[in-house]
Amino acid sequence: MTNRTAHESLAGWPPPVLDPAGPFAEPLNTLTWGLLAMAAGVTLVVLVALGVALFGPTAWRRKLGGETLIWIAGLGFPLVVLSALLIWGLSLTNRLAEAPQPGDLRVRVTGEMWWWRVAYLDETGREAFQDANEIHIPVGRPIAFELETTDVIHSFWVPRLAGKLDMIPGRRNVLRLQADKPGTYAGQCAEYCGGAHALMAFVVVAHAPEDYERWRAQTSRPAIVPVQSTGAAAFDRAGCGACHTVRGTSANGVAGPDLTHVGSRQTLGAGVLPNNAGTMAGWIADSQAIKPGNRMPAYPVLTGPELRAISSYLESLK
Amino acid sequence: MSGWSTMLGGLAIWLLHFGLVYAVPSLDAIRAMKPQTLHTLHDVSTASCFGMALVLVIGCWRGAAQAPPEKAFRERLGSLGAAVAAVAILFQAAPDWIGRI
Amino acid sequence: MSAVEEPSETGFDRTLYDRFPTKGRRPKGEVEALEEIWCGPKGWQWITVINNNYVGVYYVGAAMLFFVLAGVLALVMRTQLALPLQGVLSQETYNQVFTMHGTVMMFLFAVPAVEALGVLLLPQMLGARDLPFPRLSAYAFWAYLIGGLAFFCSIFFGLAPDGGWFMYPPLTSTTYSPGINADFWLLGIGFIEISAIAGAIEIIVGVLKTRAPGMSLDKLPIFAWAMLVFAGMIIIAFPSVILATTLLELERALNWPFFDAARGGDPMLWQHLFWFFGHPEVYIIFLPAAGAMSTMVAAVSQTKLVGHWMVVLAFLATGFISFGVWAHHMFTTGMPGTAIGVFSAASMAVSLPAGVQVFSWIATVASGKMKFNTPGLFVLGSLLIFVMGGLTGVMAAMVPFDWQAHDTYFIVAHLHYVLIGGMVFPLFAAIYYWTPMSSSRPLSEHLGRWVFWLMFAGMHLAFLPMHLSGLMGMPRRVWTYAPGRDLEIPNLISTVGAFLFAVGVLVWIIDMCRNFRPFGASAGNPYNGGGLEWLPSELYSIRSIPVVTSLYPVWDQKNLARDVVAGRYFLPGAPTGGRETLVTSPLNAEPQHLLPMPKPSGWHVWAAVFTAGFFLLLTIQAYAASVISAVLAIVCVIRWCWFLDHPLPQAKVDVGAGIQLKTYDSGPTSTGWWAMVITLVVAGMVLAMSVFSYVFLWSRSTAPWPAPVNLLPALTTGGLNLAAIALAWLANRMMKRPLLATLLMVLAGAAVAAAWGLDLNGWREAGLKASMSAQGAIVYAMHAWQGFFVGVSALMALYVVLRWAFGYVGSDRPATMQLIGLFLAYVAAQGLVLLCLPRLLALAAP
Repeated sequence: MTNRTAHESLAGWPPPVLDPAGPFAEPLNTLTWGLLAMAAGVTLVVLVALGVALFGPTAWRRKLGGETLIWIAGLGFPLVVLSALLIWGLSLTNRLAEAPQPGDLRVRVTGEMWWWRVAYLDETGREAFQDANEIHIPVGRPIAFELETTDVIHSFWVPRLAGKLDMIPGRRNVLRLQADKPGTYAGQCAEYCGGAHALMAFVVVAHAPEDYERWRAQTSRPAIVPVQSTGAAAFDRAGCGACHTVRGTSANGVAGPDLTHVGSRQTLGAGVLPNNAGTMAGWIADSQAIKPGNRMPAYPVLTGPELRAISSYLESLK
Repeated sequence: MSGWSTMLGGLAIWLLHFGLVYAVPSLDAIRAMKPQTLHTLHDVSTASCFGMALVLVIGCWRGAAQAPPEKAFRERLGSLGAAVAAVAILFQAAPDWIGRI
Repeated sequence: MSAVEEPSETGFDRTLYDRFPTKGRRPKGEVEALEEIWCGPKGWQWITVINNNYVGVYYVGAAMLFFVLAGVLALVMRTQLALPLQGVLSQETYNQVFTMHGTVMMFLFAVPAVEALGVLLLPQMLGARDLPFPRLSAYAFWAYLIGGLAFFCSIFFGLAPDGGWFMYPPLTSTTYSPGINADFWLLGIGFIEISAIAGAIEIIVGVLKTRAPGMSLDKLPIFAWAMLVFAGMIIIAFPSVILATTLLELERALNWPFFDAARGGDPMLWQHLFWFFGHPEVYIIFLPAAGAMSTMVAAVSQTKLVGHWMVVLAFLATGFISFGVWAHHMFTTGMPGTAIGVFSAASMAVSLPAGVQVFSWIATVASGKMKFNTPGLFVLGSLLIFVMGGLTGVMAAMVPFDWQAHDTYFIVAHLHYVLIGGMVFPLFAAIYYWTPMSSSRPLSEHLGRWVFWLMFAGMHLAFLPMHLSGLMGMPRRVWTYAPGRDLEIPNLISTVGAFLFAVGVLVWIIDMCRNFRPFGASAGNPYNGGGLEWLPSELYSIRSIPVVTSLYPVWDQKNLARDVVAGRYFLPGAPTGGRETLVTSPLNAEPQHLLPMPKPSGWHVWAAVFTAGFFLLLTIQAYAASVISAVLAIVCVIRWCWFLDHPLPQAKVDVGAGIQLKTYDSGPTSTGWWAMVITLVVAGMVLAMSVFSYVFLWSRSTAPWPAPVNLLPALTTGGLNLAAIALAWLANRMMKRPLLATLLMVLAGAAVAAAWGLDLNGWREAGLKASMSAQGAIVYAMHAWQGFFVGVSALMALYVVLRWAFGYVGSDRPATMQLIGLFLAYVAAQGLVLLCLPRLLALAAP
């Protein structure tokens, strides 16, 4: 379904802002290049003018050394450039900030310190099922992200798909984006939100429409827990269910990320670690060393076998 | 005081216009209004502020021509200030105009 | 040149200027008397000194100290970020360090540094003996130094704020920041703002009222213009952040929900208030530096500034338009498209004045012959860096681009280009350029070149790659980043650049240690500047105050230095026998009266110590001690004021060439009146911003905001406030009968107090609770603000009674009563606003 791994998607080259993957990011790429060219051009003009003013022939310098230069280069020239830019910027703003359309797929993302609660909504706007730190979308159609927060201000940013938009207490902002090709797109929190702000990332996984439907059907189902799983028992004993939900089991906590299909995610700890049994065990044993300040306590009391059991149980939740 | 109002008149008009274009959409948030009414309010504010600024540009520039140097300086400041204000007024009217297209 | 003279602004006969330079010898002992009166400090007097030659140097020194301290924090951060997943700083410490870096650079370095430059240079440039309120600038300095150092020390105890320099709630609310770290920021910075405002009042009055005769606005040095606009902007912008910090502190301390969405507050209100201050702040920092640049470009090119008047207009336009751009820090908050468009447009428009400045500088360079000395190099470097930063600023003003760039390292790069190019480089140019004025040795040209090239190279190396790391998706304010994202290379380069820059600063420190010798003779005018500050001067400033007929008097007015030193101009001696300076009119600088000035005393220093003590003790929640400290501060301030408003025995004195000027003045020609009016503008801006807050929260509310409906108390409140205005006015009409005047003034104070109490009681009876709703919070906050003013009014009434008891109330000294009358009238007007606003909005509700 995707030929890019999470790691590749996170790589900084080419710069994601200049590597758009959808119609809401594409114009921003064009704009960025246009603006960079403008900035370089004007810097060049100033450099040349300064060079002539410093070292030029006397006749040229005399021409520059009067108020005429200020009228032409200091007022007239910026006026033309700025007017053009303003019109470009405003019309683009209008086009991109268009209100959500009826056919848009709706996903509610809630910023939490320091992870992302993801709720997939049905046509009526009711929550169909929850997931965390990884957002799956179909390609080729706009998605309306309803951005909210339960605590402080966060900002939702997937540079290859769209610009960023803040999540503000008491408000709901709607960001539209669309991916044109299947793949994994990195995102992260852009607004400083205290403690572990630096480690609050996520991924957007775009699927071909039929893959997406398959994924949605799979993920909306409760977890399939093997009978007499020692891992599930240890999970219960350690009290994990007080904060985490595993649908189809007694674990129904809501403070932390939903773990119903945690085994299928690409990353752990909101984009901090790749997801496998080893990192899962490491995270459970001492997440505080990996992501200081996060709200999950370290579990030094768990024995090695317990840890292994819990992590393989969680990894089995696909 | 007239010295100061000459110098700063144009810029004060800009400030007035800024306040108006900021306030007009807020009126809508407080008490729902027809878009057409808001557009009209916006355009009337813009036209009158722009007009006042233009009058100042010309008036001050003329005033500067015959004045003694101290006064001419203030008049010229007033004139250019009003010109910059006029441009800024058009700039900040643009969002509403472009939004209508 | 026109033949018609403009009519005199003040009635002063300008043909009297023709008497200067005077002929003949000056009497013996005049210079000695000046030296005696303006003598330098000895022993403890180094602390109580108020002469701007000293305070200015202290002030610049303290600002540079904070520059170095915040710079060290930057180096620590760059070390942490040099490689991914470094452990130099923990996450917690890093968050404190970046918050402190931004806060200290903005509040303890940039604003004080330019204000300090003004304190040091302005009297010299304007031909004044000193600033009009020397103790006020000394107070501002000590408050800033003590408060600033205590604030900085919080980082050594892990108590430094960690919410970012912008302190967005709810992250900074007690829920998410329970420690006193955030309180350090709110109280510490709120308090340093007061010091900045004190300095701004000083600068405005200084520039408008203490210029050399004949220095009309068209001959006002460009730096003074910049400082004037700068100070005016502080007066308008800082009240907003004072209000914001007060509200947030109230929310933290008393649980009043201004920013708590669950109870009807709105975190966006903070952003509006903060950025209404925060963006003009950038221009506040930049304008004085641009003024210094314009001065130095002309000097190092040895020609007049091309388009001087256009640059002046550019400053004024920047000052205005910068108040229409605050929301460009909020493009990603989901504000409606048309609204952000307006802010985007204003952000574009504000680039026009910047273009004028840059091309004026280039035209000046072209019309003269540039010398590549150290100030010259810094000027050129600054120009280039500032242009680059300005252009990325235009990029960020484009809303859709900002959606990508906002809160990334692209913005970090942009703001450092603007601030370093627009402020730090001009400041270093200024230090090299003006050191010969206040030091007996100039700084080393040889070392200066090293400083420049190291800083220039380091600056680009550090910040150019950040544009890229921003586009690569690196957000701001991250304590580390993941490996394998190609971010290592730009970050490592940035770190190397930061250290290179630091080496440049280190070389500068060495240069300062080797060559900076202040408070003695001056090293002359090595760069051949054209302003009055280059006239030979001593601690009393220049010997006599010349009639200025040119924008570049030292270049254009023949024999000026000789005549000034020989005492052939205004005020060649000390006619009243004390410190004094000329007060002139704001537009054309016509002499109006002589301003007697204070001698050093310790009261303003103690006032500063106890003011700082009040805020710091409040922060660490030592409430009893903080109240004691506040009382002591008030006592010191009253004792300090006690020196004021005493007419001299000589009602008029000869200020040179037989021109007689009054030695006492009151009303709109006096400096005290101006200072009071400006103070009331500050208060009025706080009121305006709280009205904005009220309306903002009200418009966000889904439920109506009721107001007390009883008509009688409302009418009584209104009547009492109007009566207070009338009483204060009447008191000033009755100065011939001191007892009556005093009684009327006390009654006026009582009336505003009663009005306040009545209005407050109405809200309490209506059952409004401050912690229950945003309306409760903002209503009681506004009444608390009014209560503060009522408290000050009570102190003033007490002060009037004291003055009456000592026989200091009378028609020979109307100034104090006038100013107190103005204040009380303002308080009453504020009470009327508080009375009307909620009721009008309750009526307007659909």
